[in-house]
Amino acid sequence: MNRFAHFVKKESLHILRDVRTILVVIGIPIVLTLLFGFAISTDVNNINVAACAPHRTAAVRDAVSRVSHTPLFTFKGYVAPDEIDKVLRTGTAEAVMVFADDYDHLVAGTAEVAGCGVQLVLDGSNPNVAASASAYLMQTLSGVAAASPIDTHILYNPQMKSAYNFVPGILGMIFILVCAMMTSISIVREKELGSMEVLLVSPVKPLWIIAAKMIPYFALSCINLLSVLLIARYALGVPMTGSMGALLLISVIYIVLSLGFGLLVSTVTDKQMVALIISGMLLILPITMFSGMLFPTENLPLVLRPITYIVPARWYIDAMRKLMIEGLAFGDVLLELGILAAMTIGIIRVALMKFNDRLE
Amino acid sequence: MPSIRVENISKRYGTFTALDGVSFEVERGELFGLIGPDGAGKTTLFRLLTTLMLPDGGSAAVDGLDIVTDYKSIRQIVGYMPGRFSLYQDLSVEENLEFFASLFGTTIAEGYDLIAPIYRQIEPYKTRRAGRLSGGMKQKLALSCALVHKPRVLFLDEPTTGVDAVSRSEFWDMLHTLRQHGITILVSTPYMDEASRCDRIALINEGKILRIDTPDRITDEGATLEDTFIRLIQEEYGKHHIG
Repeated sequence: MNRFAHFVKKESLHILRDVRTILVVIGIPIVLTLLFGFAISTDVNNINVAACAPHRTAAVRDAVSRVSHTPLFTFKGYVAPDEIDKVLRTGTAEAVMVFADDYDHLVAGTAEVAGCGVQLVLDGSNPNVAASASAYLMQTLSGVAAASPIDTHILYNPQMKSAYNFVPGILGMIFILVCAMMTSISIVREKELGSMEVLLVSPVKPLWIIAAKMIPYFALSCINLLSVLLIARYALGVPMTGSMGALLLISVIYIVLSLGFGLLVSTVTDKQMVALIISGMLLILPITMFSGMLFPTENLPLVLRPITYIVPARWYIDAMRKLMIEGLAFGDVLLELGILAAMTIGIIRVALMKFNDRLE
Repeated sequence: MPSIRVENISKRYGTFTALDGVSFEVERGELFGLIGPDGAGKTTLFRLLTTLMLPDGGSAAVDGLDIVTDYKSIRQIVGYMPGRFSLYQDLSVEENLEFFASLFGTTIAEGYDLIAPIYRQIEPYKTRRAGRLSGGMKQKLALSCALVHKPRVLFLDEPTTGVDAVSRSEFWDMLHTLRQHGITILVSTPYMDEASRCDRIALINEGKILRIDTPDRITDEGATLEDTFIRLIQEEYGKHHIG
């Protein structure tokens, strides 16, 4: 086993001596997590709201003050009825609440004719903002206006923070990036250097060459897993109440699967640039499109949806969301675990079969 | 038993014939040179003999071991320095050597006697990264790496390409030293001046061996080896196109 230890040492030296790469490999996951966690967000905040209420009765003022005290909204003041169009067009406000003349009576339930208390006029040029604004406003105002027949409770992520949703996706992408890209490049580099010929013309088994290359990247990936989990838990406040054992196990399986991908890529090319393009374009694109990382897989057209079943990241991200956000137990991710384990075995078998101990 | 025996071996890449019925034998402890221009089939021959490729026809044996069936045993006893081989630039001289020793389950100390005449010259720089060595020093380190496990047969594919004249000359001196240890050396070169330092040479062109003999006997009376080679190639070309 001494030979193998030497091999691992040599691979580790390659990585350790390349300070820039090691910084990128360890830094990118942290930067991505922080970026998606804090900077990039699909949450709708700071919605500018105006009110149109010529009468400004006590109930109207009460409603307006409730809205303006909600951190989501910024109250921009009262506008005249003929100004509604103008404030929406100029972007002064994204939403205008128009209060009915007999709003007080409607709230109190003493109105002669039943009707709407408030009309919401929204700027629909950004549908995402408009939808959120109307939902939030209805929620805030419904406490004032006649009691809504629907009582909504959002579980697991009650504040609907998008960071919760992104963390599993980032992990799903990072491992492919670090494991698949880095291992494939490191194997292909030996081919470019000519040292692969020397390695093959030696008693070393190809399996050892592969395993020795995988171990340091596996270790790096574990560091990444740890750093992203710590940031997610303590900086972003992702709950992670699910089974920690299942979370780690499924991550390790996914890391090994990504390493297998890297190996597979390295068997089909002998140029570092090609390996980079294959693992970068061919793997990253389906991961972002078909894994549910950015948008739900249910949003895809029906014909494309079956593709998601063969994208490993989809199963990994699904399971991680269950474990990190919904707080499910080990038994609830058995399907994902099983599928990922089967995919891992399949990919590594194919890669080993294709890994030749000759040059052709 | 010859150290290397090649019988009527052929290798094709698609429609291109890289080797066309090549046969020769190399005795134990012989320094045998393959002389020929780029694309003559030298590298292909090396890859066949080092079991990196399979022949399309014919057979070959290294130290009595068949290159197709006994390839695993051959990999234990040969040293190989590929043509475009460069060491691990980011590892130090010592780390490179140590790694190649460990590949064969041995250590620098065990192989030290054999590599000492070569390695001693670069040993003062053993903590230096291989990428920062001069061309000649890289060559010595590469040869040390190919020798550290005490191979019985050494394959050197154009080992002196891109190395300065002084280092080249030193390199050939080292090969002569190694021969005294009974190591069979098959070396290829495109340089005619190096051919004269071999025990025997084979002139190879377009996948065919034109002539095998000692450098002195192969050379035409009153001509240089280069002139002889060119004449032989033209003869072959004429035969091919007239006949």
